[in-house]
Amino acid sequence: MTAAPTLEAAAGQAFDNLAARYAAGQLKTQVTIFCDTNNGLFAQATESSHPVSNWIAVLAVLATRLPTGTPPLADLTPVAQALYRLCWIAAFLRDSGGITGSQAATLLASYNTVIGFP
Amino acid sequence: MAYPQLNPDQYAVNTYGFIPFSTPLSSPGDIYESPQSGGAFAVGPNSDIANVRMAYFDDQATPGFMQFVTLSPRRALVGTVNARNEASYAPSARPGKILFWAEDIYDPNYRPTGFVANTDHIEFIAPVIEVYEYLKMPTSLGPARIDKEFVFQNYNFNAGVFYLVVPYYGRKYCYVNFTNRNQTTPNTMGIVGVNYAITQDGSAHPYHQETTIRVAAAVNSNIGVTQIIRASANGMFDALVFSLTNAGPAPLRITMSDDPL
Repeated sequence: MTAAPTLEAAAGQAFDNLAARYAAGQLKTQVTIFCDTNNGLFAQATESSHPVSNWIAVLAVLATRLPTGTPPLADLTPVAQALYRLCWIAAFLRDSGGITGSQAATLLASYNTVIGFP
Repeated sequence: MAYPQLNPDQYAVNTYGFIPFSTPLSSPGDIYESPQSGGAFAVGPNSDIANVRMAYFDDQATPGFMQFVTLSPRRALVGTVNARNEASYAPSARPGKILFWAEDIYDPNYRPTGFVANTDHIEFIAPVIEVYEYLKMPTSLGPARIDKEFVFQNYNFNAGVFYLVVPYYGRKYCYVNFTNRNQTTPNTMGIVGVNYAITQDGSAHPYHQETTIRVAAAVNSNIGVTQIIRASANGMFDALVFSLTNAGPAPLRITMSDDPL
C-alpha cells in the first residue's frame, strides 16, 4: 500500500494497513511502537491536544491487551477503529489549531513508517 | 461544544445535576473527557449517535487500568463511576479521566456510488453526540431519544445531483414525506441507506455498504411521495442519503424513531 499523503487518508487506510499487520502477526508490536513513539509528542499540559493523547491512551491499552502474534479476528476491529478516529481527530485539530502542523506531520510520518504496510 | 469542549468542573461547582455533553461531531474522531465522577451516564434525547463508548479508570482492568462500557438508547449506565484524576492509564501515563466517543462510525468523506466530483454536490447533517453525565445517581431515567425530525425545503445547487446525508444510527422507523413544488421541473428523488466502513474514500470501490430504499425516479410538479422505512423490512443504517436533481422548492420532512412502529 502506498504511503498515506494526509491524516485523513491514513484514517481511511487504517483497517487495510492493520489487517496486513494482523496477517503478518505484527499487530501488537506495531501498534505498541506507534503509541510509544507518539505519546510524548502531545504534552498533557496542552489541553487542546488532549483528544489526540486520549486516543493514544485508548489505543495503547488495546495494544497492551492483544496477545502476541495473531490475536482473534474480533480484536482487530476496535484497534482499527481507534486508529481511524485518532487520525481523524489529529487532522481536525491540525486544521483548527489544536495541534501544530509539525505534530501532525510527525504523527503521519510515524503512521506511514510503523503502521503503513509496504 | 466540539472543541474546546465544555468544562465539566463548572457544572459541579455550580451544583448542577448533570453535565450535558452535546455537540455535532466535528470529526469522526471526536473524544470528550470528564474529570468529574458521575452517578449515571445516558445517551441524551437529541443524540443522533446511538452507541456511545465510555472508558474509565479501573484498578482491576489490567493491563492498562481502562474499563470500557457502551451506552445506547436502550441501555444507560446507572451507578457511580469515579474519575480517577490522580491515577494514570498505562502505558500512556495519562490521567484516569472518564472518556466518551461515538462508537458508531461516521465518514464525512463518503461519496455515494455514482457521485460525479465536479458537478454533483453533497451535504452532511453532522451527527449530534449527546451524553448526559449525572453528577448524582438519579431516581429514574426516561426514554432515551426523541423522535427526531429533519425539515428541508430548498437545496443549494444549480447543476448535477444534490445528495443530502442524514444521520440514522440505530433508528428503527422513518417517515419520509417529499413534495415537488417547483412548478416547471420534475425532481428526481431517491433514497439510499448507507453503513459506513473504514475505507479509502476516492478509490474505485470504497467499502461503504449501500442499500437502495427508493430507486431515484422523477416526481412531477405538485406531486407528493411518502416513504416508510422500517428496520424489519429495509434494514438498519448509519445514514440515509437523499438524492435530488432540482433545487426546489421541495418540502422534505424526515421523521425517525427508535420505536419499530
